Amino acid sequence: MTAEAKPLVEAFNLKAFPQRGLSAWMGDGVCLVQTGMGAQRAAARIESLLSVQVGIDAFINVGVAGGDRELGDVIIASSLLDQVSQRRWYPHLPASSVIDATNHCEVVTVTEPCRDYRNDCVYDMEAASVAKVATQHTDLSRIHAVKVISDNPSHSVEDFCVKNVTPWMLNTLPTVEALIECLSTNKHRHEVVDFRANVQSLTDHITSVCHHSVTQSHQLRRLLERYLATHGHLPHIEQMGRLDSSQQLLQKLENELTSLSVIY
Amino acid sequence: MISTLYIERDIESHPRAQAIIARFPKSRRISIDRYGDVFNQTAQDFRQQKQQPALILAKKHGRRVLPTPPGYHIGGERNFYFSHMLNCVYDCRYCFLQGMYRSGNYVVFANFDDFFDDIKSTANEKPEEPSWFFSGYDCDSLALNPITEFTDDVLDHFNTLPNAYLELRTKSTQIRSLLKREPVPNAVVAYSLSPESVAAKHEHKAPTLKKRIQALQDLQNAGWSVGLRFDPILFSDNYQSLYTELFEQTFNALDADAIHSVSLGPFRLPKPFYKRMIRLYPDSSLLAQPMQTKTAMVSYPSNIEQDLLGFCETELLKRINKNQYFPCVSISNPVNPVEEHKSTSKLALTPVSALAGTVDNSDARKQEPTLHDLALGQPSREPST
Ligand code: SF4
Repeated sequence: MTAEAKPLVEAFNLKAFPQRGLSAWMGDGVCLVQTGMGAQRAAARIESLLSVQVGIDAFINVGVAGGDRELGDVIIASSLLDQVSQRRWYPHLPASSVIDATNHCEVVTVTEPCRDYRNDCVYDMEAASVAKVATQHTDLSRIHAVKVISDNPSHSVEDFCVKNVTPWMLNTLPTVEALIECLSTNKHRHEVVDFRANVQSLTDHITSVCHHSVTQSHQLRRLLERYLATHGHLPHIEQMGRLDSSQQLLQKLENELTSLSVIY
Repeated sequence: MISTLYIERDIESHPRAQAIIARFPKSRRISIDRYGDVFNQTAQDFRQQKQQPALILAKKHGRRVLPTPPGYHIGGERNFYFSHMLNCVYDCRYCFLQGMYRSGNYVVFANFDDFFDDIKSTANEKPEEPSWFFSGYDCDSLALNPITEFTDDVLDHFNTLPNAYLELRTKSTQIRSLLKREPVPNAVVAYSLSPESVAAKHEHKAPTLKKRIQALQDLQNAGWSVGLRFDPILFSDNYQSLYTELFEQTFNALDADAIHSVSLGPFRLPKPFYKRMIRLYPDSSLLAQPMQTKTAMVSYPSNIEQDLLGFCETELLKRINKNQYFPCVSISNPVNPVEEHKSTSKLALTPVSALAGTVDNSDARKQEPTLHDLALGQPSREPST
């Protein structure tokens, strides 16, 4: 809901990102989409966002939830359960030096507001659905849910008042910021992502000037990966000779790799 | 070190689980039904998880002790393996665990006693024949010992089983608990060794060669039976000088005659594992070297493999007796690359790791394949080592 989005928009200095059917905001390396309420709507909005914005490789679902905890308490999901399908996901949580190890529990995604408050889980209406879509695009170390308690046994969902949401959402900011920092500064991941991107870019260039079958494109990409892994740089395109035969090119790269010295 | 503990509800109150949990007072604790729910879920990234692995405490159900593949032994006729742990604190780039498991998290099965009962009953099936039990194929036997205290328990158990022998495979220098006790005559502590520069490049987080040799020396001086596992042998243009130096360093430090067994194995991986590993580590220079697929295994081209193994075998046999030597069956030459040893009775396969392909999910209510089911041969495992 808008009241949930507002503190995040302000904290991350996001600008509206006009797209039909989407309430979304963009900022420095961060994109916020308002999923709306309910699993189906959330899944559809995430899919829509992914169709217009490439390069999204981490997901944090932030919002309100009900549970037997203090109003305004913040938890990170240690697991996400889709109550309908009973499918469960376990996000790979960051080090306890990054995210406090105490405030975590299962987030159960339900289809109707739930009054069966428990202290070993909280209920929301979107998180598992977001995870289901997100796991098609990335791994579980990059899919998280952060929830703030908006209703509990003493303040049931009927008492829910939207005007409280903005201050509660402010409570989520330290956790969300820590997660974003951790996800965006992951050196090991950056190394492999950059490695793959460099190889893919040269593969695309070569296949755009010299026809390769699908199998040959895969072979070319792997040969270029091997070249980069063993030489520390990609082959210089001008030294590769005429690019008019995919077969010759693949053979040339293979020969170079076979004749390379390996010294420890 | 461990920020997240997943704990199976079934094992939560087990004293050993409690002792392990108590070592991580600041970790988050997450209760789970079955370890496979976390360990085998999809959308995991082994490489990412290796940066900050979680520890999963579980109860091992189903088959805890399995026969090794035919021909795999270090002198015995009855050979079995077991894994009290899955995954490893080290990060060797050639390790098949990377290709076998979806998860880089550690699993520790806290019901050691059930393993021990199974070991005892397996050994007692033929009490007149010695049985060998190999530990450390899905993990390093010693590396997490300060947390699990596995070795003390398993050695106490083998002390009561005169007809059973134990191999603890490791690269770890966590030998304090071994040095504190009397050597167990029916146990062999087997170290995997690689040339220093190879270890530095590909055996991430593992102790240096120097430290491993020191540990071997300390163990041997204390009266323990030790084994050497030169597996996998990796190719380089300077392999002759590297492996000669490795053998010299190792045998200069040890009493060669007292070494229980020495094995040798080429780099080899089941093809599906290899494919997964290059997806995870496209930037690995080791995995970028020219390889061949032979009978569903990926390894060096036959000529290279035979030269490597032949050279190392010749060098080793200058330093040890044939009866201490257990070569691995070559991938390119299904028998032993050095003909003269075909006649020795100890033919054989190197260590194993047999578990090719086994994400053991018997506990996750799934029937998992074993090495035998997959019939893939034996990867260079070295786990644990
Ligand atoms: S090869 Fe052995 S020591 Fe290395 S990561 Fe695998 S199990 Fe651990």
